[in-house]
Formats: sequence, C-alpha cells, structure tokens
Amino acid sequence: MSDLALQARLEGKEGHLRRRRAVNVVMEAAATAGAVVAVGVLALVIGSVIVKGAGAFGLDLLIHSEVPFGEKGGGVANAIVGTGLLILLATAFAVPIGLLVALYTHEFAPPRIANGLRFVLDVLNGVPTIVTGILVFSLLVVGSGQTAYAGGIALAIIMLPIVARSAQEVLALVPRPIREGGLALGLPRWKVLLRIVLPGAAGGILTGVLLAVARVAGETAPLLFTCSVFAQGISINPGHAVASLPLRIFQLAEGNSPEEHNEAWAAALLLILFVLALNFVARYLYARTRSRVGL
Amino acid sequence: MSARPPIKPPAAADREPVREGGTAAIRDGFRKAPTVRLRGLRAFYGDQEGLKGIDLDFEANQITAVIGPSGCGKSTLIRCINRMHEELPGARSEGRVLLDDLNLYDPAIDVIAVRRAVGMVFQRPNPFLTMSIFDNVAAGPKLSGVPKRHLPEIVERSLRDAGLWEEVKDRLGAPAHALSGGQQQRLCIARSLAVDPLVLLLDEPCSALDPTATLKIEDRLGDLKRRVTIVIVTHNMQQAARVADRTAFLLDGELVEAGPTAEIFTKPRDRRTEEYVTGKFG
Amino acid sequence: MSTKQLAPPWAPKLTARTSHLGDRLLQVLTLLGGIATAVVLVGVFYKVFDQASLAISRFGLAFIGRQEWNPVTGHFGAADFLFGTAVTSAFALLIAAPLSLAIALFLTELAPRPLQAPVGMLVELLAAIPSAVLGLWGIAVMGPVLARTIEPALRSVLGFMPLFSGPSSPAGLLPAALVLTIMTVPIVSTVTRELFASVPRELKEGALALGATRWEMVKLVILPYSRNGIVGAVLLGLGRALGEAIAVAMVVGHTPGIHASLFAPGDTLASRIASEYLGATTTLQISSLAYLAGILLVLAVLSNLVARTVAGAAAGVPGAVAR
Repeated sequence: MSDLALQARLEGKEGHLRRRRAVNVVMEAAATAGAVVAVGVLALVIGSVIVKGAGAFGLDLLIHSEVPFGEKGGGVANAIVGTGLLILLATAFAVPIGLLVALYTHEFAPPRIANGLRFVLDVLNGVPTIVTGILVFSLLVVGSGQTAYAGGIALAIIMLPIVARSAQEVLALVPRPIREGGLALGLPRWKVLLRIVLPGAAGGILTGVLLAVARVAGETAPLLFTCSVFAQGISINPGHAVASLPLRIFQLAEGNSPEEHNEAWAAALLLILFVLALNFVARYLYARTRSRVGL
Repeated sequence: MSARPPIKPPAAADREPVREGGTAAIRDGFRKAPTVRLRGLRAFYGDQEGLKGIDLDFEANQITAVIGPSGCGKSTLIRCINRMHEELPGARSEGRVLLDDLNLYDPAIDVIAVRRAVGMVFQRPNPFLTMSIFDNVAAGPKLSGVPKRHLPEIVERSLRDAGLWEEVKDRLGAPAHALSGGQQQRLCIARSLAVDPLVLLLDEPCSALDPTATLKIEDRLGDLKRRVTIVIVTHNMQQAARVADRTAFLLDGELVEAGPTAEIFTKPRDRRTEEYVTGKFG
Repeated sequence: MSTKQLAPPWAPKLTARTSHLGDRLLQVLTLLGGIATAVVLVGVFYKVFDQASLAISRFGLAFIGRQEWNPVTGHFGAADFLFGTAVTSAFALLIAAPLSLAIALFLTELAPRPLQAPVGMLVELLAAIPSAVLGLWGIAVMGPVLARTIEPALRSVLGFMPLFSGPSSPAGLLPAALVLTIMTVPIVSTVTRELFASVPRELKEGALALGATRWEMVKLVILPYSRNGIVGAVLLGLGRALGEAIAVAMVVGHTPGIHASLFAPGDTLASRIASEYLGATTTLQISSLAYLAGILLVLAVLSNLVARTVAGAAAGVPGAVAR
C-alpha cells in the first residue's frame, strides 16, 4: 500500500469513520445526560425539602404535638415518637425471625427447602406494601382497633425479606474453616453458630437491619390501615395507634392550609434526614465489613 | 514529524470496499506489508513502568515471536502496537510506534483506524457468542459500511485464510458458542482478517488450546505472512521455533536480544537469553 | 461436655446427627422461623382472596373488564383502575428503562474512576426518598410546574396526539407516571449497572480491537450479553411501579375513568385501595377493594417471578467458551 494511502487510512478521514465517531459522541453525551438527569432530580427533590422544610422548622415543631384542626401551633413531636416506637416494634419482630430463617436456610435446611425459602422471601419482597396492610388489618385490627403492634407487625413483614437476605449473604461469607474449626473442637453446632459464626457475621447483619429500617421508616402504606387513626398527644402505648412521620406528611399534604403544608415540609425534612443518615451509616458499615472479610 | 500536507484519500481506496488494502496491492496472494518499528516505547500502569524503553523492529511480511517469562511485558508490548494498552484505566504510554514511517501515536491519527489496520487475536477465544459464525466474521466490515452484497465473499475468504471454512461452511448461521475452543480461536482470527489488516498481533493465541488445534493455527500463519506482518507473543519456545522467522526476548520490561529465531535459540548473544531458552528460569 | 468423637475438620456432617439438646432447640427454632415466613406469604394470599371472595362470587372475572365503581348502587369493576395502573406504569417504564440503561452505561463505561462510586450512590439514594415525601413534592412542586409550563408545552408540540391533548391539571396520570419513574429508575439502573460491570473484559476488548467505537462495542458486546438481565431488571422496576400506593394517590387525581389524555386525572389499583379502604361502608365495597388488591398482588408477584426466571436463567450466554 502506498504511503499516502496508508496515512490517509490511518488518519481516519473517510466518511464512514467520521460518522461513526459522531454517533459515538452523541451516545456518550446521552449516557452522561442520563446520569445528570438522575442526579439532578435527586438534588431537586432533596433541595426542595431542605429549602421548604428549613423555612418551617422551629423548636416548636419538635416539642409540640399536633393540635386539633384549625388551631395554631402544633408540631410533629408525637409523630417522631410514634415512628420511633413503630421502628422498635418492627425491628423486634423482624430481626429474630429474619435471623432464624437465615440460619435455617444456611445451616439446617435441605437444599430444596432452602431454595424454596429463598423463593418465598423473594416473593414476599415483591408484595405491594398496601396489600401487606390489608393482611395485618384483617388479622389484627378488625374487631379490636388499630394499634402500634399492628403497625409494627406490618412494617416487620416488609423488613423480614431484607433482613433475612442480608443475613444469608453474610453467613455465607463466614469462612468454612472457622466453622469447622469450632466443630472439630467438639463444640455443639448451636454453640458454633451462636458464639463463632454469628459474631463474625454481625457487622453484615447490622447493615441489613439498618437498610431495612431505612426502608420502613419511610413507609406509609402499611400503616394506613393499621395505625393511622390516633389520638393527639405523645403516646408510647403500643396497644393504641400512634402517629408516625410518613403518615403525618401524607395527612398534612392532603390538607389545604399553608400552615399544614409548611408543617408537612418540615416533617419531610426530618424524615429524609433520618432516612439518609441511616443509609449512609449502613453503607459505611457495609464497606467496612467487606474490607474486613477481604473483599 | 508532521511535515505532511493534508491529503485527500486516493480514489482507489474509496472505490475498493471489498478490500480495504486495495486489491491492486495483492498479487499472487502476496502484499508488501509494513514494517513495525518501536522507538523508545515505554508503558505505564499508573505509576508502575511495564516497558522501560523498547527499540525493536518487526520486519515486513515476517513472523516475529516475542518470548519471555511471565510479567516481562510481552502482552503490554503488543497492546501498545494496536493502542489497546491505553484502554485500561490509568494506563499510558510514551515513545513511538511506526508503521513504515507513520507514527501511530501521532495526534492526527485516529485510534479506530489504527485498530483496523493492526488486528489482534487474544489469548482466550472471545467471539461474539450471541452472534452466528457469519455475523462474527462480518462484524468488522459491517461496522465500516461495507455493502451487504460483498459480505459473503469477505466471510468466505477470511474463514479460508483462518483455516476454518471447510469445517463451518455448511453452518454459517450456527451460533459461535457451538464451536470448540480451537474453532472459536480460528473464528477470531477470521474475524480479525475480515477487515484486511496490515499487521496481525497474536497474544499467546494457542495457550488455551490443545496441540491439534494449535498446529492448525500455526499452519495458517505461514501463509498469512505473505500479506500481513505478524507478531506472536508466546511462552512456548517450541512454537516460536516452529513458526517464527525472528524472535525477540523480553525480560522485566526490557528488550534483551532480538534476531533470527535460529540464532536466538542456538547461539544467543546474551547470557540471560541463553538461560531462558535452556529453561533455567521462566 | 459431649461424649461424641471429635470430627475431622472436613467432615462436619459426622456431627449432624447430634442429639444435643442445644442443637435440637436451635434447629426447631430456626425451622419455626422458616415456617413463619412461609405462613406470612401464604397468609397474604389467603386473606386477600378470602376477603375478596364476596366480590368474586358476585362479579366473577367480568369484574376485571367492568368500568364502573359505584358504592351506592353496589356496582364495582376494576377496569378504570387497571387502565390507570397500566398507563402510569407503562409510561414510567418507557422513560425509566432507557434512562436507567444510560445511567448504567455512564457508570460502567464513561465515568472516571473516582466518580463512579459517588454518582452510583446518588442514583441509589433516589430509592430512599419516602413515598410520602415524593408525593408531597409532587403536589407542591412538580404538579404546578407541569400544569403551568410543561403540559401546555407538550400540548402545543404533540397535541395532535390524543395522549397530549386536553386540559392541563396539576394532578393526573402524567404526574403519577413521573413520580413512578423517579421511583423505578434507581432499581433498574442499579441492577443493570451490576450486569454491565460483569461483562468479561476480554469480550469487550475483542470488539475494541476490531476497531469499534465505544458505542459500537456496547451494541456488539454489552447489550447482547446482558439482554436477559435487562429484561429482568425492567420487570423488577415494573413490580415496584405497580405496587406504589401513596405517592401515586397524592398526585393522580383520584378520579376513575378511562381517558385518552395523559393530562387527565385518573386512579390506579393501589391508590384506590389506599384512599377508599378505611372509609368503605358496605361489605361488598370492602370485598371489591380486596378484589382489586388481589389483582394487584397477582400482577406484582407475577412480574417479580418472571423477572427471576428471565434474568436468573441466563446471567450471560449459554455455553460460553468451550475448552
């Protein structure tokens, strides 16, 4: 091939190559634009919450509970406490069962049953939260009224697959030799599991719990039927329905007055800060656990 | 270096879509391929220097083997020739790679065009698994807009050159993953040949294959060098002795010695070369 | 102290048949945990369809196609809500799918190393926004902007299509669809991103070494390799979109009806349940709402299952490289 032809070829001046390069640039721009849009929307939403929420913020908000409709003042103190109670209840129900299921599939279950349970957990994860609300409503609320227990259980059902899955993953990561070393020492299985394996998996399990809590802290639908009609004023009696932040936001948002909207934004700010904080802590823990296990 | 005036591509290259090299250039199956020269080539992975300044010539229309122990930089070296090295995050290179006397790293040169002129076959066969045999070979020409009616001819010619035609001619529509390892590797060779490269780089192409498949490929190389300058990286010295006209020995990112294969293996000038080829290390 | 023999480390099964009390207890406890989990799932299905049984026996399968919802006369049908669910979810996925692919490609192929983790995390955080907060933002921020600016703009450009004709309103199918898009993108893009990151480097290099541009390499290698997984990811997103009740209820307009325009108010299965269930008066109404819930449950679980089958069946390509 002549020198000139080779040079022309390598400089890529022929039409086709130019067009292909142009298409490539367009597609790369589109991909970048996509990422920009996503981050932009996130910034937009969180930005709105921060701006509007900060404006309505005040110590009053945190200290006072909601007041009868039409009265001035009022706050979300009862909602904050209620959310705390609900999370506590949900965690208390979900974590033990989630751990037990994970231990069962990891340690005791024959492969087919283990796969079956994994399947069940996956399906459970995909059940719409409003439907979970219907389940708990028809079981626990009909006849006896709404309670924080009911709300907590509804939230626990949503947390269950998340906790169980994380626990399963982390249990699988604990190296076999550690487990077998314990067995070889003559320790019974239950001691090996509880004293040796579980502590090794604790970080990952905690991460899973935090992620699950972050998920349900913001859930409204499961509480709608189980824990949404509550007396004003702070209550920590799980036998009664309690207020919760997401529900409060929902109710305030549907309201018409600017005060209600302001309060909604402030409550939203609190909730988002809480959820984001949980997320960050969970991620940090996750990264630390992975590095400890050598991943 | 850039004293050349901008030129319009010659009409011949425009009107010869079937062979990018231009049919005029091939007579009796022979084409004068370019010489590849490395001048002061250095390659970095982040801060680590993989190649420490290589000056090496790959003679036109010859097969040159690059040998050396693991980690000596053989793969890095050939990946610098078709500018694949820079695809790795944090990797860069310095120096010149000349095709005849065109520097492939000249800013005016398009890296896509470089890769069509310099083909590469990888260590493990990597055909497009979801595509048919025909589509695999046709993928390259299709990208550069070769009209569909030319494709069957190009595919057949490339598969023949790679020594795979007889085995697949009745099932060109079969998916690539249905082939054996050795067949897949020859498919990859055909795929590279379909865009009519001037240089072919092979990075330990037979290391994942059994001896029969290896011999089939080595057999084709002798024929291919009549059109293409070939560089083959290999850790198998018997292979180098079988196929290569010249051999270069690399150690720790430096060129120790290069010359006709027979000399390198029987009368090496450097003691390190002698130790390597007699199996004292590596 | 147990009296059984010490087992060599590679044969833990020798100790499996222990009659040690602690082991038994643990085994039973964990088994109970497993049973509880299964019971919950079965319970969900059972209870929902049990509650729906009145409506099912009254209306049969025709319920699905009936376009009526009248608590007074006792005539109920799911068609309006199926329409709303279908339209909002489909529209959401139509936008979310390519957007998520773009994001995943950006993160795996284009973004400089230091940017990958932070940007990826930011996209995932979209999923952390609580529904009620997103709904609030939808009512107070997005809705007015849509009604005042975007919908008129769409109407002037695309108004010849019935989809974009009709009066603007801050609440309707379009805001609901957009809210669903925001919720779906993180799921689809995270799963897709993992898919793309697992494409073997040598396959990609094969295309690049052939002289393909980066986009051509994506078309030749990444997309075909991930094809099944992408479908699975989109279906996972669909499951999420189908089940979202709160954010949608806040912006969709709570008006049953089938209209051609996206600007019109509407209602979805989940949001109708959310808004009416507690206030339902007659047993037939409650049962009909449960019937809606049953349809929703089946749709959501189905899309989840199909996602699993499609994506789980082929992580890459059958056969891979023969040796």
